[in-house]
Amino acid sequence: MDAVYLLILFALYGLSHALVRSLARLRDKP
Amino acid sequence: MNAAVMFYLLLATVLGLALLCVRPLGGYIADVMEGRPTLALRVGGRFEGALYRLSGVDARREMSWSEYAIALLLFNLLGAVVVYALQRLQLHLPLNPQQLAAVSPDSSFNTAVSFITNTNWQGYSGESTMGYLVQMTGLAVQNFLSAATGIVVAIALIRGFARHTAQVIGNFWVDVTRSTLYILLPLAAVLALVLVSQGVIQNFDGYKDVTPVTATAAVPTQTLPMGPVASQESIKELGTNGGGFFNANSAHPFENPTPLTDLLEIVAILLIPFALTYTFGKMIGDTRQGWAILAAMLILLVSMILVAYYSEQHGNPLVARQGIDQVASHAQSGGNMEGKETRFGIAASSIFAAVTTGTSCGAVNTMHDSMTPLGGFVPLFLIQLGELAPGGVGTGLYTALIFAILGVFIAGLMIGRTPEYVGKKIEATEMKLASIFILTTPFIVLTGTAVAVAVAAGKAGVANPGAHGFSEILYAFSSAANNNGSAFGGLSANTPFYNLALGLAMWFGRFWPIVAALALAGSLAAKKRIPVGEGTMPTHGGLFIALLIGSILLIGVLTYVPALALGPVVEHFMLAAAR
Repeated sequence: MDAVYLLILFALYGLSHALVRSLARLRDKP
Repeated sequence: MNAAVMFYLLLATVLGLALLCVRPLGGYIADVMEGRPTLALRVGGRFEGALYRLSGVDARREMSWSEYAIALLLFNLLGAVVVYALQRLQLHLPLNPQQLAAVSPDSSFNTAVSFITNTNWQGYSGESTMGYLVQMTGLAVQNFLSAATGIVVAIALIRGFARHTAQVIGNFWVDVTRSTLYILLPLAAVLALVLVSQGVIQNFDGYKDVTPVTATAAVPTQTLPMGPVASQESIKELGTNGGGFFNANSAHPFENPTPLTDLLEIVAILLIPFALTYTFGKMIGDTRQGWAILAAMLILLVSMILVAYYSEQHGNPLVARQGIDQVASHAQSGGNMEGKETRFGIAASSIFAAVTTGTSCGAVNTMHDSMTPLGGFVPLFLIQLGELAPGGVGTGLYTALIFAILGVFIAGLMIGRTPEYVGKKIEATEMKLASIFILTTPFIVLTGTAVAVAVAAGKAGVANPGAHGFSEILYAFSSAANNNGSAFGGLSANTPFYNLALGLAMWFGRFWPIVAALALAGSLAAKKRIPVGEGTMPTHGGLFIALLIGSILLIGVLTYVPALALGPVVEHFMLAAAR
């Protein structure tokens, strides 16, 4: 179960990182 | 002295002390975060420099908003992994005199996310779950670092307004180091010493078995938990964290022994959130802007304190109908004393309940679940408004600023001018980011609550069926998503379902708005500054304050009234109808 919860933590980070990338593209649109 | 008079005196004292510190503390925070050679930076500069050299940080290099955001996320992910590991390994670690076992994986996950997000939701009972090392190096450390995270996001957004045609908003590592070293640590150290002088315990002793005055043959002794409480208590309040060493939190006599410590703890909760409004004004070169934000926060907070106090002092109508005297007098506090400490009474409990949820603290000196329906509505509604009256350290200010952007946008639509705020045009990108910020949390609250009331695992945690049970679930998700951490205590939340669901709510409720706020900071920093002209709407007067409050209430009411109607509102009417 430790692996599951640690994986969830990393997935949460990954989703948040993806949000950063997505909003960076939002800003770049004319 | 009349109870109401004492309440007003206490309220005036609390607010007076906190407001007295706004200018000096707010100015100091601005100086520290802008790197001016204050005494603190001169004294601590070498140590600070050594930290950067050890960790390979180039303090002179600033970051774009996306670099800043990723550094913040990585920092917090690392914190979560460390806190998770400490809990799972605690049986093998020192400073665990009670030999408390490893915390379960789901509870460890929930607590790790809880403390890195400044929520400090505690599904566990501290004295029967956490050893001293975990409390100190895991939880108390995150109390500092999560508070620092909130402060630096606010500072980054302020820089977005203050700078123009800039591509950078600061260095995350420098900001978080300075806010911890020069703001949080000194304040927490002083408050901890004061608390110790008043009886808050600070030791590494094992729990003590004592013979109580009311000892009986069946219960000859009582076990008193011990621990390094004062050092955690101070940052718990100052950093608007809220996570108590003990389950009873600030109702426990070892955390909050006297009315004086209670007063100091309330002031400590308000200190930095109030001060940051002045920091905002100073950094953008117009302190009137900060005072306007503070005024809006105060109006909201004081209004809700009054509702809480009068609801609790009025008491339970069912009790009154039994002919039981609930009037305050020299012999009794009167009103609804269920769940409250007699050393605090109605006034201090009501003020604490409103302050802890108007900020993002979540510490409690009274059990919110035992408040009257309207009394309990106050903390719930303050959380749902977005916790900006005055909000948590950093989070309150950046939330208020984003609502200010929304407000000037609405005003701009009304008068047909491009909205602008403190010299920056508010355009489509800014409104998209502000919308993402404002809507993320309510989405999490309402979705989480809907799922929990629909599935068996969610309903299983409810101890009080009906409207109050619904309120408990709604409160849990509101508290988690808004990173408050307080609870309506009747919900059994230390289950795999709630530990996971609330953990997800806390993460998304904290970091997704933060990412939007940092993106907004980057967008604003890149803009040119527009000089004040004849058509510029003033954002420091009464009209703006009303606009800001109106925007906040509009979003809060539109979003939550249906849910509130199913919980505290219907419970209030049921109580009045004596059903």
